[in-house]
Amino acid sequence: MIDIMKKFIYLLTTILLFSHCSDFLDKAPLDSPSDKTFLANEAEIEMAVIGCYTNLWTEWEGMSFFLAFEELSDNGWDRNTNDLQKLSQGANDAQSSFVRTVWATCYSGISRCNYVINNLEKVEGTVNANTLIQARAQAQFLRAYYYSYLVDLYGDVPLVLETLSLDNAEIPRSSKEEVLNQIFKDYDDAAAVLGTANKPTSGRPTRQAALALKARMALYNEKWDIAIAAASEVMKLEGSEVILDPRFQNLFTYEGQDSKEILFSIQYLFGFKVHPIFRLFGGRNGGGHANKIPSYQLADSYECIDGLSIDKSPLYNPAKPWDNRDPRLAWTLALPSSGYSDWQNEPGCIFQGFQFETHRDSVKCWNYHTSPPSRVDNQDALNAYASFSGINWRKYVNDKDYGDVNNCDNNTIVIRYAEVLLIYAEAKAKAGQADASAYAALNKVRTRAGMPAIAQTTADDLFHAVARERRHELSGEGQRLSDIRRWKIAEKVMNGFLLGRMQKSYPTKAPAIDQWGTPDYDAAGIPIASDTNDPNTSMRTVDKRMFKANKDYLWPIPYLERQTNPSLTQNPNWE
Amino acid sequence: MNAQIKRIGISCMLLLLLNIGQSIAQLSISATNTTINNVLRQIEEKSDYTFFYSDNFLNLNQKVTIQAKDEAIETILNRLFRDTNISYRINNKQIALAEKSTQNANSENIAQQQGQTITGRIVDTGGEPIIGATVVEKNNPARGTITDIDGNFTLTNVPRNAVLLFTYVGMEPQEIAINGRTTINITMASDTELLDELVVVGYGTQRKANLTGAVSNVSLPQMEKRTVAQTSLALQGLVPGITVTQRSGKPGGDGGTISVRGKTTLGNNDVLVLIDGVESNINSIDPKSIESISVLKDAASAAIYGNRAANGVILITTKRAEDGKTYVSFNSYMAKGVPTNVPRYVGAVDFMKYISIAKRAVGMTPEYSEDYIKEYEAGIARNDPNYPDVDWFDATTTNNGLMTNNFVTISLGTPQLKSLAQVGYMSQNGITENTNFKRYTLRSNTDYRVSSKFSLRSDIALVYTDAKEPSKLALGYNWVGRIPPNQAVYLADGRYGPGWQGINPVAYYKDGGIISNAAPSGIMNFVATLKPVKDLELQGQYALNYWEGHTTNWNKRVQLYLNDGTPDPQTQAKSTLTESTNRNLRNLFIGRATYSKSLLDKHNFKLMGGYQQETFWSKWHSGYREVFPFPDYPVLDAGGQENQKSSGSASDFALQAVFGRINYDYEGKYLFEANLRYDGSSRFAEGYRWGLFPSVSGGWRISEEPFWENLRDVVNNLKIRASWGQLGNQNTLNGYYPSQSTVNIGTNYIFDKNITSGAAITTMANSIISWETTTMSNIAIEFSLFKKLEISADYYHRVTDDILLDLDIPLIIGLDKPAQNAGKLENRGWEIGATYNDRFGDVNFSAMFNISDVKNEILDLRGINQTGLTVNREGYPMQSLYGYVADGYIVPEDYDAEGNYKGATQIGNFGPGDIKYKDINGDGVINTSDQEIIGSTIPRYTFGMNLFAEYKGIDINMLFQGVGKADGYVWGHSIGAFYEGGSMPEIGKDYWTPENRNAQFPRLAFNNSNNQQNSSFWVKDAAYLRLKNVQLGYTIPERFTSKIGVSNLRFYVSTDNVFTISKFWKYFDVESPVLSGYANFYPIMRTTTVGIDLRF
Repeated sequence: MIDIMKKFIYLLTTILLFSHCSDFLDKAPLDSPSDKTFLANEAEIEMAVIGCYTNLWTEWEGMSFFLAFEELSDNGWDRNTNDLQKLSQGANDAQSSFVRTVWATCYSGISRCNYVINNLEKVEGTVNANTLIQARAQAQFLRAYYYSYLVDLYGDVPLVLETLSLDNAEIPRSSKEEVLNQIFKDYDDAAAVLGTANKPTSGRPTRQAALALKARMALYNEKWDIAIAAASEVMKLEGSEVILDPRFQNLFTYEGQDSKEILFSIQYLFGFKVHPIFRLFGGRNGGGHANKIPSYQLADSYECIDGLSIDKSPLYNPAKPWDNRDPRLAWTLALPSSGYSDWQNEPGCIFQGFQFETHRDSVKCWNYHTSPPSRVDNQDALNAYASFSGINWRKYVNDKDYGDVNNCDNNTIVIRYAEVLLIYAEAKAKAGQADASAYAALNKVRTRAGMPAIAQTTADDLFHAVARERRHELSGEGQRLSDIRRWKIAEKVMNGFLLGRMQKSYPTKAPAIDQWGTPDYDAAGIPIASDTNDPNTSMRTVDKRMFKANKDYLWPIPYLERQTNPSLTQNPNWE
Repeated sequence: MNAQIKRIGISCMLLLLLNIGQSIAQLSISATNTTINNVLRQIEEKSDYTFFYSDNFLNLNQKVTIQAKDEAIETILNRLFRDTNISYRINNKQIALAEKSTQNANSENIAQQQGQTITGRIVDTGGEPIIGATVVEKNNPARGTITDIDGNFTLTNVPRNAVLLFTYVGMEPQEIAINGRTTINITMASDTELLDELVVVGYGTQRKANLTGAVSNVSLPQMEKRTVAQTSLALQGLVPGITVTQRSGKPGGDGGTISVRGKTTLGNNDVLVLIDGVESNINSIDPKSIESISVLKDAASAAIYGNRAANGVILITTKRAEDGKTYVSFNSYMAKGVPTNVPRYVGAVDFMKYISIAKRAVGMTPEYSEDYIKEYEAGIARNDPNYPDVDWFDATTTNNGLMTNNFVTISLGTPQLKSLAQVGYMSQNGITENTNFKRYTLRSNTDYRVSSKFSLRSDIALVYTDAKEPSKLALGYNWVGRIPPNQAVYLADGRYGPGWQGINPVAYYKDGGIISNAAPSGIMNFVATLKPVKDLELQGQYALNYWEGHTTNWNKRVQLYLNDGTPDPQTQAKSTLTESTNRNLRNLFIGRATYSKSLLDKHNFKLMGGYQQETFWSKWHSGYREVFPFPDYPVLDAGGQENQKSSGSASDFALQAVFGRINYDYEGKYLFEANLRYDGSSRFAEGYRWGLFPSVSGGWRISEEPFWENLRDVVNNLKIRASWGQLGNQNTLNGYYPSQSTVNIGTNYIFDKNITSGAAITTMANSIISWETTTMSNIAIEFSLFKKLEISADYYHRVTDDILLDLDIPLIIGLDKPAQNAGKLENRGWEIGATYNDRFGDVNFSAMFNISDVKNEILDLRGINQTGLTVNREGYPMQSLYGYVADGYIVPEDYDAEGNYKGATQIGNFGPGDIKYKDINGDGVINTSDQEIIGSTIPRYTFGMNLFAEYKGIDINMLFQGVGKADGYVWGHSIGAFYEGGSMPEIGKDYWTPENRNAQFPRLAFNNSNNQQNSSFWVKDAAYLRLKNVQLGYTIPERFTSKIGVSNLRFYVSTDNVFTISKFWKYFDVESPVLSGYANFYPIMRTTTVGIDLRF
């Protein structure tokens, strides 16, 4: 008995030792390399840099996340009852998925950039020096870009410049100032290396892109001199590689993707990376969901062709509100054809190949996809979920995507030259240098659009002219949220109703328009739909919004982030 | 007289591994003028056979002479009994002896007949003849006989008022008064004291009486009553401590999720299922192939399976051919399923009325005028197709839900070679178009008895399943509960209508392409058993398990039309085809040795030691094309060249273990067992790879003590047992290389409108992760009363430490979270099982009841508490429901004279009639800091009850099953009115108005974010009692069927999910996936079956 047991134990021990020494359990991944030697040669460096770009695809419902910012401003609205809508209603909290997504993907991009920047030393001397310099410049450009959103939305954020591990990740927030300095430095370093040859569909940044984005961040943070200097640098390049494209309306189409007005854009490619903007923005006739829509207030903020706001211009006809308006109104929005006296000659009211009309009684419309055009049921009037405001976004909605609404691959613009001109003009006005160069910059943008130039007046007037111009030039491109926050007008424009068109008519007069271009309907006595006001002849209330000045100017630090990193403080009134 | 051993050198892996040269033997006997008795004893000594016979009626003292060399047992026995009146029958290792012909043997008695002659047949409950059973006259024990090999007996000269006593080893004795009858057929039931029953345990068997761990046997007859397509469901309600939850009724996807004693860990909680020792999917086997099922519930009994066993182990052995039995059986049934509950939504007119109310409530303009609604109503009344009124659920339920299952078993058993072959075919139609599941099975189990010391088993199981469903089935189900009823399925001219946003589920199901999932799999299992010397058994097992999955996703474009007949531009743009294949191979080798020894007939030892290794690899590839000009040819080559894609991946892992076990008992009274297992996994880094997992258990059979003697008539068995053990687990890990940092080579970007390859480290690696450890203690008591009622009760405590968790890490690190040994989870539970067997005259009756409970609590998550609807938070059960606490409705009285709301600010644009939430932190605002745990998703007090009665061939079986405490959560558009463009449920008509303040639902308010929050308002009691199955069967008496050569013929009808008692939402099945919120699941079925069991 005992003997047998001894043999048993002997046997077990033998097997144990045998198995322990063998490499039976050594398994390495079958389809991806180990990181031990990563960044060893030129090819790997190039691949690592490309890895830094993919975070540019940070998205909301498939489209570039900054386009969704428009729906957080007084320009637009998201119909889905999701975290984005909640954010626009002031009903958001630190657990918002949108707030977390932006934070997480920006830091994910930063971490990849840090990895490249920190590991280039490993191969110094063994790899072509220019490759290293170019790699570092791109990584710095992208790192600055990702940090820009963080400081803009969250204020003070942890400044991470090294690859972190679990042991050293409890980093507190750095001051916004400190992060900004890093952003400026990164953009400067990148600008010093990057070339100026501008091909927006190359996907690569240029010197002017780095400077333009630096100017934007400087402007946002009231560093007027820095903004002026950086913008001036770009303006010096105006000519062959930087232009103000005479065809504004083309910039958001497939044909316009390579316009040299575009300084940097997010790249899409059919079959690999696409976005569903045609569906999200499009109307019901075209197969869209009118999911993200512009506010009626935005439409009314556009001036008449004489440069006067609609409450002041003699050209404004309340019965035909779209006649004689800033051409960018129809280039930016799809407008009901009944608002034109001669709609058939207005490209603005053909949308996705259909006559666009949201009047409730307009049960039929023209379909231009057939030849000859045919009369069809008008879904943009009949469908219960047609645009609630009666208008749609037009920028980035291209007829080419009709029938394949989720597979759009036109690039989305991060920054273009017109914005640089407006940055320059605004910074000059704010710096008390409302000189001719500032007016020239602003008027260049206006005249390109077919609007009259603005005559020189006070710096304050210039500033408000630029502020209105930014709304008219850039709406639908994701700039408005930052604008109303930095101008501190969000507490005004984001409190109250987001309005839609009267369902069976137009207001009989123009709303009062203030210096920011914000319409006021109550002041003008225009009825707003309620229990007693008939929505057919009153402004439709699409949503009621709320914005608390003591809280909503900064987004909260994501809840989970403070759970994992207790050294992070929360922004005011978000606890 | 001597026995010769023939030496045959063989080689097998086992022997190579153990490095022991061995020999095997065949039986040789040489006896001259010896008693039969002596020869039998010799055979017993030289082989595993044991003889059963009754000395009273057989003369075993006859002298015989026999010479046999390397001969099979049958040959020897045939010769041995040639000149005697003894016949034999081999039943596994048991040889029963009987008189060759009772009639002849009793011929003398017939002459002296004074009383009458009684004939009859004795069978067991399975209808098998009992050979060698003793029949005696009670008052005259000298007058008796035994049954022959067909179970027949004849007893002569019996007084008319005599009482006969029937006895047989292992069977309940019976006394029957003949009362003048001349034919007495009886069925003997096995002794209810099933303590000698062998229970399959890890790497062996154990007498039930000697078990010290928590092992449950599944009652197979009850399980076989369930005519379910998936074996997992057949376990529902039958085993204490096992919860089986069915979440879908989709053919091929209607299996249940099995959990043994709750949830052990925060990730993968799958129970380990071993079919003949090979890890398998429980649904890959037809219930008809199963011989036995054991469930190892505590650490002590599962410990021997170490690294996979933390969530419990289900051991299944398959049927094998039996010695001397040859039969063909045929089982067939046909069933039809209809949904138990389906959500109901309002009709078109109601929809338009109510959405108008909801829109006005938030200052929006209703799109339907009252005139239009009236016009619409008239349109519906005259069946005008321009005024659709669609119940989308009914519209999509157009298939027949029929199921057929045919199963043939062929069994042939000779002492040297036994073979059992099974062929099965099952086909199950869904209730939606193009939805079907087919399963073809072939199993061949073969036993080779090479010699009395060496045997081999070679099993092959081939299964081919083919599941088909519309490619947009899930999408469609998400929308049937959402599309407004005034959207047309078909236009007046029969073309497909627009549905909703380009989604028409009817068109999708009928014509929108098919996903087919074909999965061939094969298991080859070889087992060699060698008994070189007495008491020692060596066994080697090699199993190869290969399976594939071929998914063809044919997502076909189907043109939809708008109401005016123009093509709907939201129609899916193009047809796409994705064909993907995964291939998986698992290689398993186990070698083990078992040594048993009894010393002084008191100390019983059993030692077992072994080695196991396992490798697994998986490869996957996929091809994609789009735009198919010829949609009748859904193959890749028929698709467009543009935008075609291919991809593939591969991964592998390896496991290694050594293990040992000691069993000791003293006189069968004091029982002890200890296990040790040393496990290694390739998923951990060098230095963290190996884990040592011990367990001990003990038992005391109090009823075996002398002092219990007087109580034994009442309490015939009493045992207490206790166990403690540890198990390792690594199944929770995501991916096979979590400890290695790898470069993700898929981070590509686009430059110059070209894809350019990029690379990045995207996931953090954690090289210091190691085994998570589950420690479990169990105490239990087992007793049986009057040999009729058996009860066992267990209490256990289980703590899982170092849970491998993808714990959130600071997002500023910028990498995906790695696994960490971070969490700690506790389960405390108890379970009680009872079975009762009795006979009242001709009625056989049995009842079984079980109930169990488990309380789950997360002890540690390193302070990182999740938020969301289902969360893991410290101090609460895992996957708890989390949200606001609803406190009735907001009422007009909550506003002051100025119209300001007096309470804590609620969410969004709230108003009277909205759900009011509790301001938990009292800061005057409702926000996420006011959320707390509002319910649990883990069912408590799960129970099952089975009742069975049989009377003269008529049998009835009822299975009740339920949950005593559970929270259900239905949310989103399935229950909320007009949620994100949805419709409105029929029950939603009971909504809040100032006049109807006790309404079931809040006011109608369009897109109201306040009411859409996760809150306790939507938590509903999901406790239930369900008559899971009722079956009525009739077995035609054999005296009729035997004339056509049929030994058993039974017909039955059966219904599953007969009725349910619960307080859950009307129209929702209480077992449905309450957590997914939406009604986008395939309904659970009420299935009615007719079937036939036939055996030749």
